[in-house]
Amino acid sequence: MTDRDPSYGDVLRHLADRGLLDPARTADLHALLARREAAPDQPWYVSALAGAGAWVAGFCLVLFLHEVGAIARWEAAQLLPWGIGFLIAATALRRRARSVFLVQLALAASVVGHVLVLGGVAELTRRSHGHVFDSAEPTGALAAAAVLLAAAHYPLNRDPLHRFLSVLNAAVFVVVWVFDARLHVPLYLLLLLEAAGVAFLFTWHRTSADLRSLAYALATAFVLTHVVWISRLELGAPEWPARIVSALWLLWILHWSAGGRSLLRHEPLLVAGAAAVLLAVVAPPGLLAAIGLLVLGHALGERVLVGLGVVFVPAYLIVYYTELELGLDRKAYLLMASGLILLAARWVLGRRPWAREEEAA
Amino acid sequence: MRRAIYWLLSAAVLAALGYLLHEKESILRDGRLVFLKQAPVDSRSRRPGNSMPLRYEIEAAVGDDAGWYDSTDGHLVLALDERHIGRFVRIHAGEPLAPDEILLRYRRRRGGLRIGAESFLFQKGHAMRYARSAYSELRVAPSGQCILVGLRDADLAPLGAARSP
Amino acid sequence: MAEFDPVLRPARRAGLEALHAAGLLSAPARREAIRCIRPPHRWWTWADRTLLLLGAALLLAGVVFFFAWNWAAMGAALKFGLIGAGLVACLVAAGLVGLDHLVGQTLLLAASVLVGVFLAVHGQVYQTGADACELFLAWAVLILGWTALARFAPLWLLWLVVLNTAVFLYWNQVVAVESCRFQHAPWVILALVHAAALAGIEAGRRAGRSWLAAPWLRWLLVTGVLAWLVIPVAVVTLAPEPTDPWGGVAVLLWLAAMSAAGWFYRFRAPDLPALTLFAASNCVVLLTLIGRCLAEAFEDAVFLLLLALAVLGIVGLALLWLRHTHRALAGGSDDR
Repeated sequence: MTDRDPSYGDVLRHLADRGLLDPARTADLHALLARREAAPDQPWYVSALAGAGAWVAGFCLVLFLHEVGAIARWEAAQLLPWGIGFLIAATALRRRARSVFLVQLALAASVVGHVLVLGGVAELTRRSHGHVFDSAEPTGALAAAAVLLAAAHYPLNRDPLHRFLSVLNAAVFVVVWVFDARLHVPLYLLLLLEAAGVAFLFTWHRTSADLRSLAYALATAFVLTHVVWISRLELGAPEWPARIVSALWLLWILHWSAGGRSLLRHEPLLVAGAAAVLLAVVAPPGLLAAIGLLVLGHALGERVLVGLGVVFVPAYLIVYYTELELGLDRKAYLLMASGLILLAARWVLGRRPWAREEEAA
Repeated sequence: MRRAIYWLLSAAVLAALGYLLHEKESILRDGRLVFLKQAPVDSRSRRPGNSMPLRYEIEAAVGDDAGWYDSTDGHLVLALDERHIGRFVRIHAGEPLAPDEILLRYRRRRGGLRIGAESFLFQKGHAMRYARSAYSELRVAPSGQCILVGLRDADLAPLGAARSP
Repeated sequence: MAEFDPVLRPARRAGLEALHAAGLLSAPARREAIRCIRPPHRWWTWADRTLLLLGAALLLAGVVFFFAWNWAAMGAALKFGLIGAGLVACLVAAGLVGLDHLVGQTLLLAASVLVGVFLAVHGQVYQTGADACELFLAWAVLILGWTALARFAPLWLLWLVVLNTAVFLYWNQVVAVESCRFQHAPWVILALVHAAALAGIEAGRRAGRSWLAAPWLRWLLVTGVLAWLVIPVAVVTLAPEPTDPWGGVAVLLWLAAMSAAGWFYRFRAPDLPALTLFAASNCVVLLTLIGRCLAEAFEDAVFLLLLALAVLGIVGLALLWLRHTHRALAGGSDDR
């Protein structure tokens, strides 16, 4: 926090001083940096305000369409054409729009399109089930439709906020489907996909501004899946597959953060790895996700990722507390053990001579 | 300086916590044993969990008292029978008490009577142990403060793991 | 600042990896560059703090869960003995380590949490049936002294959470059931508490207290002030209640808070996240007002369409202003 990150200029000077830089290629280097590091984009909290505004406006528009009779009967035959029409209009408008107001209008139109298309799909599948009293919501079809919408939208609509919301929307429907249908294997696959997606997209050198929305949407979905899971323990999905996935994921993040082949000395990495494995044995799986996000965020200098991890921990603990399946006594032991593992890791790391050496440096 | 303040402050907080314990323990030690007959509670509010809402029959008797509607917080006078079961006599107005009478402090909340024993907390899953509860076992200090010690069945036999007197 | 210079941007691991992949950084250069942005001593300081705070948080959460279980088989003396021993141990250790050290501060935080656990167990054992708001209020009062002494932002956060919970529960369990009308006073009082705390940290920052520099503390307090004011102001806008003077107080305070926050975080201590919160709360109040006027003037369908346009317009204006401010501030610092 007190340490400011050095700039690219500082790093390049540092390398040049040590003769590690080829002076002939400085121009290429600057050109690549200029291409990668675009002008500061809109900060995420401003985007959040834009997103909230578009959501409210979009829902007003849906109610308006209902009032004027365009979708008065709430049937698939009305919902789908209107929805697809709104999605096309939104995409076309967004590609052309330069003013803030039109961009907001495009986002609101896209919200309308998503609501109508998903509503239409729900109506379609509900009718094909044929049972009037069939209470099972067609969540599988909805999840598939939401994923298709997000996939179709991602390359077409270049608005980062829009991409984030669309992917997150798809992820939410997939989570709802997994827990609604009481599926175990898809839950593990979902967690695996989210974990791998986060690790890969945030660390891949070719992840540019285009893929950052996807990376952040997956990180949010990852956290969300864990929160929903901890609130639905009565599903009885065994935790061990998620523990193994989380442990491997965390180990990989530690390894990458240390610079691939260990740039830290090996010993601290071994301590961290041992703590991660121990933690995977006792801690509720979501805590490993939180620690992974914290490490990754610190290594990358992505403060938003760190913030996501920090906010996730209390939310997860509150949901864990209110969940009724597992007794509070068991939860208490698991949490105390997790806390002690972290404190023990700190104690072991702090006792090693190199820690004191470098603290003085 | 900061150190000295820290130690003084910590001692004060510990003393305050100790006082809280001492206050309750002295009521347990010196208070009179009183049983209060429970009134049925709306079953919808009796969710299984880790607590049980309690209401008392004296509440109806207090509601009939003319003095209740212009009172706010104060003391009730209860008369005890030979089994230590309390019966509402009147709202206290400062007069001396008969030997079989005791004071019970109350507050008005939601227009109703609250004596500070309106819920019984227990370990989650132990609800069945207290299902036959008919009386509340209280210890009442001369000041009128009371502590809910445990629950008793219709024959005044202790229920659950309540601490017996 | 017309020309944007990427070389001045903070170096990120992802950018260095891209340079390496393009063949512009050799393997040793890449390793040295990564070491330069995240040197081992920085990893160590980070791990030291993170492991301590997260480990302590989990351990304390475990302790809270443990006593919330309300063990029937465990005697009152043992419960109080365990909590008391933990409390004394934390206090003595914090005193010996010293409150200038992170470990001492964390121990004091643990002691503050244990005070709350003690009060909760006191309520369980003696079946006091006390309103939960009294418990939280007592907790806030008991730990206020330590909080003031420790100069530790997380402890202030705990204190504010406890106090907010106390006032919120008071409103929820006592005031709301005594009368059916909306009560403005608790919201306004909460907002005032946050405003006082905010004024305190801004003054402290000016005086150079580094422990107040954590930006999240400021953002949380700004959120507290604005959110607790926007609720009564929106209620006043939708359903004016001339008999409740606190409603008028809320509106006046909101106007004052708006002007003060807008000026301070734009010109004195530029802070875009705080200004975003400021803009968002303005949007909510303005749209409530516009929505009410539109609802009185138009039929349902027209009303909904106009409301949607109003939302787009007002939020769009806010975004326009924020982007302009962002660009104006970008010359100074890079605070993403």
